[in-house]
Amino acid sequence: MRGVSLEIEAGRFIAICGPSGSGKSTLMHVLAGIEDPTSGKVLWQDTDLFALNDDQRSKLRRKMTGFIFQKFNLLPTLSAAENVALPLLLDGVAMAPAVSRARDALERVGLAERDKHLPSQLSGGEQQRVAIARALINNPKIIFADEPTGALDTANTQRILELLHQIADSGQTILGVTHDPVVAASAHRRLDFRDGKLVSDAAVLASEVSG
Amino acid sequence: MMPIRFLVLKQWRQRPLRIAITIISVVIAVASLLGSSTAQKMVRSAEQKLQESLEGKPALEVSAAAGGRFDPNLVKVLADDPRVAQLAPLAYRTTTIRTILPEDSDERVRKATVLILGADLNKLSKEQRAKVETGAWPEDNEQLLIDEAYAKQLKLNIGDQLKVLAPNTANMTVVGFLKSDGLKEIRSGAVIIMPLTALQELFDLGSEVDRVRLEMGTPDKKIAHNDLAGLVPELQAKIPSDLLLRKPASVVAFQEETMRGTDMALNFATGLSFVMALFLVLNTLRMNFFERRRELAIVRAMGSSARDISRLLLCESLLIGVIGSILGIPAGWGLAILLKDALSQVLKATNLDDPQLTAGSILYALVVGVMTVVLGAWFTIRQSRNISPVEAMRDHEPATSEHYSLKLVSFAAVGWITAAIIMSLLRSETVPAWMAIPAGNLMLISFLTLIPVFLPYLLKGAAKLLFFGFPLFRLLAVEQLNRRRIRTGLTVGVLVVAVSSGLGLGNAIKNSIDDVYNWYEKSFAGDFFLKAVEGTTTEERFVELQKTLSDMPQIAERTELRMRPCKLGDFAALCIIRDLPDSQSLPWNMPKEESASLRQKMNSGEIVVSSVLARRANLNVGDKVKLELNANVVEYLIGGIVQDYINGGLILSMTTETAKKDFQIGMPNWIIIKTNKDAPQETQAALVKLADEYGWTLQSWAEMQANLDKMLNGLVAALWALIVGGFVVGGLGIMNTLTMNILEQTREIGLLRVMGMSKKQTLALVFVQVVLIVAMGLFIGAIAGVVTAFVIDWVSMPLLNREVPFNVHYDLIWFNLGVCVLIALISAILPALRAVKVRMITAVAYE
Repeated sequence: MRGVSLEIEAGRFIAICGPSGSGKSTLMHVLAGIEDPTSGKVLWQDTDLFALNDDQRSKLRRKMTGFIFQKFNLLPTLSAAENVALPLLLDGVAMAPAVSRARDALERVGLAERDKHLPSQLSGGEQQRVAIARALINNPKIIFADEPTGALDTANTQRILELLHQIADSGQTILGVTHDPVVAASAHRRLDFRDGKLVSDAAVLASEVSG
Repeated sequence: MMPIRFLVLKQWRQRPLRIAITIISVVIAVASLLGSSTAQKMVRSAEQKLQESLEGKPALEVSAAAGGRFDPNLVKVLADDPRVAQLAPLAYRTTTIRTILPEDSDERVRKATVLILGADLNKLSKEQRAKVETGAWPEDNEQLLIDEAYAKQLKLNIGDQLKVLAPNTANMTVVGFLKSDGLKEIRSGAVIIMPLTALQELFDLGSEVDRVRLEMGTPDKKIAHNDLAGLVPELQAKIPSDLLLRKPASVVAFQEETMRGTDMALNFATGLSFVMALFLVLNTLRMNFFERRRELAIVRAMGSSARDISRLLLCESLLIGVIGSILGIPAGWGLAILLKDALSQVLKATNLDDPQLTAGSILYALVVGVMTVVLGAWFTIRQSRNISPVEAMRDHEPATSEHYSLKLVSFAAVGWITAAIIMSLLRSETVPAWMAIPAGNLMLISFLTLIPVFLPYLLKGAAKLLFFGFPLFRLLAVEQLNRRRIRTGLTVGVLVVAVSSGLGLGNAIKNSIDDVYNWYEKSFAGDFFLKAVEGTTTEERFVELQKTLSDMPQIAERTELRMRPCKLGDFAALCIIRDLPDSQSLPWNMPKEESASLRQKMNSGEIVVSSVLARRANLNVGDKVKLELNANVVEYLIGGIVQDYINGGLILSMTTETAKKDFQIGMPNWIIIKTNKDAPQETQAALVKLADEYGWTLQSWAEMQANLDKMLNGLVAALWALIVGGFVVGGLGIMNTLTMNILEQTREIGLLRVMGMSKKQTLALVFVQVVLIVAMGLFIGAIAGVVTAFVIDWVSMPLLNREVPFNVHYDLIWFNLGVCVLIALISAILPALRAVKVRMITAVAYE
């Protein structure tokens, strides 16, 4: 990935698109601060992400970001509520309040009654909603989503997209990598990558309309 | 097979540390087994040498069952037995001899009370059984031989005459000197040796004798010392029932007791090492197998049969076993060299052979090493048959907890109950003592096999207790350890063996050592000890010495102690004859009232028997028993049974007064001296001078204690080595398990790092797992340790023939705790660093 320079505004749903190997995932990893760039800068508001040490960067990620993955990445031995509570627990919140807040987050994604279930007892769509609840629990400023609907059927994809738009509407930024034209079409802005270069950066009409 | 072999080699290259740990476990198992078996061989060879140096060739002995003399013709029939080389009739008498001086001599007549041996000297000289150092063998019944050192004391020369006081007193001529070890096998302490017929004439014995010695084995048919006891019933049947055939009395029996204890301890340590190595190997092979399960499933899908995979796993374990054994052989040899030094101290044996590597021991090591791995691999080989090609199609291994079969629980429960029953039978002496080792190991393995059953509850409890304020780590660590509860259980099991053996065996050994120290302090309550050198003091000189000591104002009290080999019933023992002044407490641990009563009994002529001897001879308080000392047989009442440790504990004690009435007891071996509190520092120098003058040796209490320390230090060092060795194996187990856990949790750790977990928190996550494993190892290990200590104490009576008082040694507990935590933390460093290095994108990358 080279020569990429872009600014991401708050409260938007941005889709990063491109074929395999085009550099879209690398861009997301670098923006999230989990992979170091060979050169260049990433500024979160005014903070240079890679000028921070690992502890500071971890803390910033903990406070300001949420992650949604293609294969959900829920811990298989923890219940839905415990999975959602993980970011709070990492931040030093005690178990009882963390789980209580996790239940609220689950309610927000429509899974209040499934809080005690293990991931293996949930459907793919439900697991992704748990993952979204986990991403939301810290009330992050930006949510990174890596193929958030890649493992879902059409009905579940639609449901997840609705959720993502609700999040963006509430002022949080969503940066999602996707191959799915439906997801790309529903974003506010679409960034297209090819061979490591940003080839197109455009507002998406449909979303502008819907938005 | 080709792709599978390729997979194995790839696995070895990818996981060199884990393969190294598996091989190290085998090395430890082989080294400890080879080391301890070589040490056992050394102990047994020392025992054989000791027997031969003290008893000569293997022999049996006939004496009158009721004591007294008998006609040797009654046993002539035994000479026809092909296993009997020859018969040697012997007679002993204690009497007084006097020097006969020329009329013009200025010297005083010297007299001494001595034990005389009568034997067929013609035969002995023809067979060159002993060397007469100066002079010649007696040719008639007016000539005798005398011990060279004793002759020096009496200032006797060849050709001098002695008056031998007896019913038919006679003057006899000294014709030769014998070295102190000449004819050692028949001497029994005699300093004068004369023809048997001469002794029979002097004491009116007719043709009767006290003993007939049977030399066993011929050049064609050799008989070992250990086989003698088995021959007794058959040969006994050929002679009249009022004659008794038995192994000759000697000090060997005392050493046997010490050797027996050492042998048991080595066996126990070997068993523990084997169990630990087996658990570690089993755990490592299981981990290797689970990690490769999906790969193996793909190979299955490609057309390999379940048998191909089983065969491959078997070949892999054989290879690990062979490499581990080859490396374990030099390690075991090194261990044997270390053990030799420790055993030399413990057994006070300077004649231990250097450890030797024989083809047999190399083969033994190879078989043990390979067997350990194959046994460990057995479970994985069984599981490999269940690998389905469908597993190859799955994305991830299902996140279910490890299955723990009811069959295994039943096996463990049955094993534990069986071991408990064997222990009970051991206690009641219904089964032989050697069964303690397999029963102990079975009990331990069964107990450890049950750990995964109650592990989840223990884990949750420990986590709540230790990490109350850290719910995240509690949650993640507990879940991971629980998810792999067999793996965790096996790791905890290895630690449990280390902790329980450290506490249990350590506690038992420490108790035993403390008991010996305590007994030493009570038995030898003095500041200085004058020890007689055999044959260097005549009776007159001894009287002089006694007078000189009485005249020394700085000496508060002086007691004499004599040690004489004897027979109590059929058992060889050591008779301790001691002064028992009222000012001194009895040398045994017992309540005051009991002590007063026992003193009274001893003063009225009863004897006290050690518990070891009492158990061997099946004696109880109030029994009457025949004591044979210096060829005299006297019946005594047993006044008490006590703990005594001299020479392995085959001891009986009586007062000097009682002994003097019935026997010629001769000079003391020890004079125990207590000085006044304000005795000047020069006292020691004065006593040293006195000792030199009379040819005795002087030892202070501090020197004696230092000797005891030296002897016991070897044992203590071996104990610490055993404990630390156990923890090192435990540490390897922890390292292995944590590494595997980290590998399995790579994606989870990566995910948590993405979500903002710092490196410090990652380290903490690993260490929480270590702390939980250690906490459970310590907790279960402490319980198992108490059980082990209790079982060891419980069965110590049949094993060691004595009860060992039970005490808790806090130093041992702290030592165990410290070493366990330290080694566990060290073992966690590598896996923790690995966890920190987990790249965050592993959590988000799928391609």
